[in-house]
Amino acid sequence: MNVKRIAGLALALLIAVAGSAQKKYEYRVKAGFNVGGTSPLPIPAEIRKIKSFSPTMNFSIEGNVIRHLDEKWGVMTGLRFETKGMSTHARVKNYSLVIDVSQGDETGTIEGVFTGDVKTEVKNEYITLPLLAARRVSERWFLKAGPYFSYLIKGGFNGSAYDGYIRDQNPVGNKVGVETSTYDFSDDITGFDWGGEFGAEWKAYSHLSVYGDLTWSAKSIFKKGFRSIGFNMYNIYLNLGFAYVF
Amino acid sequence: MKPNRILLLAALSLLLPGACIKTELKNTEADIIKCILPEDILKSEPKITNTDIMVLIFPDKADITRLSPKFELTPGASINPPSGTERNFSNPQTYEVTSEDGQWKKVYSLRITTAEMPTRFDFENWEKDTTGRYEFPYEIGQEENGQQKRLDIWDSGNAGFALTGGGSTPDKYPTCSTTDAYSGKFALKLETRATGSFGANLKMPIAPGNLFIGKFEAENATREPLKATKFGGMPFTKKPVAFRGYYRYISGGNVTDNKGNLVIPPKRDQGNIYAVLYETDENTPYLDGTNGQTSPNIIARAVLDNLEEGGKGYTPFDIRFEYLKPFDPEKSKNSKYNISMVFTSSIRGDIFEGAVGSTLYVDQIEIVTEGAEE
Repeated sequence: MNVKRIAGLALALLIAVAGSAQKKYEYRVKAGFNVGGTSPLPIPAEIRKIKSFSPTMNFSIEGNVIRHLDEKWGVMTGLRFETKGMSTHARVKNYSLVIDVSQGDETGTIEGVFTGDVKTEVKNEYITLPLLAARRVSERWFLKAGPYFSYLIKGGFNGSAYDGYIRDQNPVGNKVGVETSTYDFSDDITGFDWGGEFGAEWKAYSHLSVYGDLTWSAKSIFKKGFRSIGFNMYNIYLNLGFAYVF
Repeated sequence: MKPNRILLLAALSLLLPGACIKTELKNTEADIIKCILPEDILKSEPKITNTDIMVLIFPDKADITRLSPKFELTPGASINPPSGTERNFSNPQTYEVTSEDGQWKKVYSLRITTAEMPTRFDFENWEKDTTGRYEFPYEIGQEENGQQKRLDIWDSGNAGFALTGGGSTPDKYPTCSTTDAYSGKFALKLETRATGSFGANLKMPIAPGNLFIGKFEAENATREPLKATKFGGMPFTKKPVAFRGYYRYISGGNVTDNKGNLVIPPKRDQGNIYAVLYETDENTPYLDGTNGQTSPNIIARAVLDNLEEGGKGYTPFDIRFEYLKPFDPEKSKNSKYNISMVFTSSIRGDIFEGAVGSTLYVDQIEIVTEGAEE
């Protein structure tokens, strides 16, 4: 469904581009890495302290085409294979959680409020289609903005909760210590992500540019109805790298 | 400024509010951490659970109708009636604790009694926990004026099991009542149960059914599980000579370890029943899973660790207390000696070794004391 939607959009754009009278196309390949976070916005008060954060290694590779409409304006699309990930270690207080568990042939639910440390590893692989308006602002500078659409190839969201306690059901429930407990919500990552992309590119040599593209998701990375984490989390990544302009 | 640049700046500025840690929220918890009464009137330290406090006092050292307990609470929480209010504890009194943020309230029931511990335990009185998910037995003690007072002497690991998401009804918990009794209406039923995916994740794939005199400190349950089961804390002022009762044991088969694998060489699961009399001191108000049968504070013990397996009916047991140290009547009279009884469906369940399905029924337990022998 989502793949079809992306493909449809790409096709529409290509037709629009091809249908116009001019013939000035510019092709690029880009290689870079994503630095950023998958984060709740704003950071909820339950997160007391971010003890460590690592952007981890997240590569991206992109091929794209710009159709120049006039001297300044153009439209751009392409395909990007990328990983968006990070690892964090945070101290949380009164963090509501609901976890579905298997209990023999029954399924049970753990419901409570956790205070303690949480480690999270995120590694989501996407294939992304940007649809951008491009504008040349000077000989060397080039800016882009528009939406992007991502299809999830593989979700990765896991970690552990440790060195804390859960209050069973609610803050006045029984206090049960948690030494360490792992979790894996990789299957709860939504298959489709979209948002805004804002980029700048600087032409260093005639064929080589450096670029930075900020992507900001408009929807939570979790599937609808996912209850284990009490807030929405958004992909906010800066993609940095080099572009080779043909 | 160029429109594109404005757009970029707008996007970047969005990052800033998200990156800030918000100010600390007020506490939402409403716990009584400590209940303070004059040291010299206490027989043992107050037993505080999530919603109940039981205090055992000497009859001749305080007027139970005029006591002013003080409380230590979760930081920022408040209590009504206030700490230090004088109240009549002939009957249990309730206190309402409100969390710092004012959103959460918890009602505690404070029972103060001079009652002595009974010597016979029939498991006839059961009550559900405050969330209504599981049940626990309580006893009735008699004060010197003849008044009957409820004594919450027992605890089990049910509170820990509750968190694993299992146990849709009380009879699916490891520790529960049963109408399959030897005498009276009810008996105690302990069954080793699987703890599902959450428990397995914590390397606690099983939960043995257990019941003991003391308290279960769930806060320690995953960190130091052997220390989570605090045995004893109940003064016993008579000299025990024998430990009697009725049981039925059904082994669940060969035991699995804390990863859920069968133990090699195969070992058949076994239940355990024991009672110990021990001397309390400043450092040892309770025994626990690490020293329940071995502590140097133990004065006497009666252990039944070779339970007969049987499908129907109850098997009697009658074990003499073995004295490891001389019994000091003076210490006994001053409530220095506490008693603990432990029943479990898997003898090594405390280290998460056991067989799911092992079941121990217990009824009509008696501690026979000197001079009361038949």
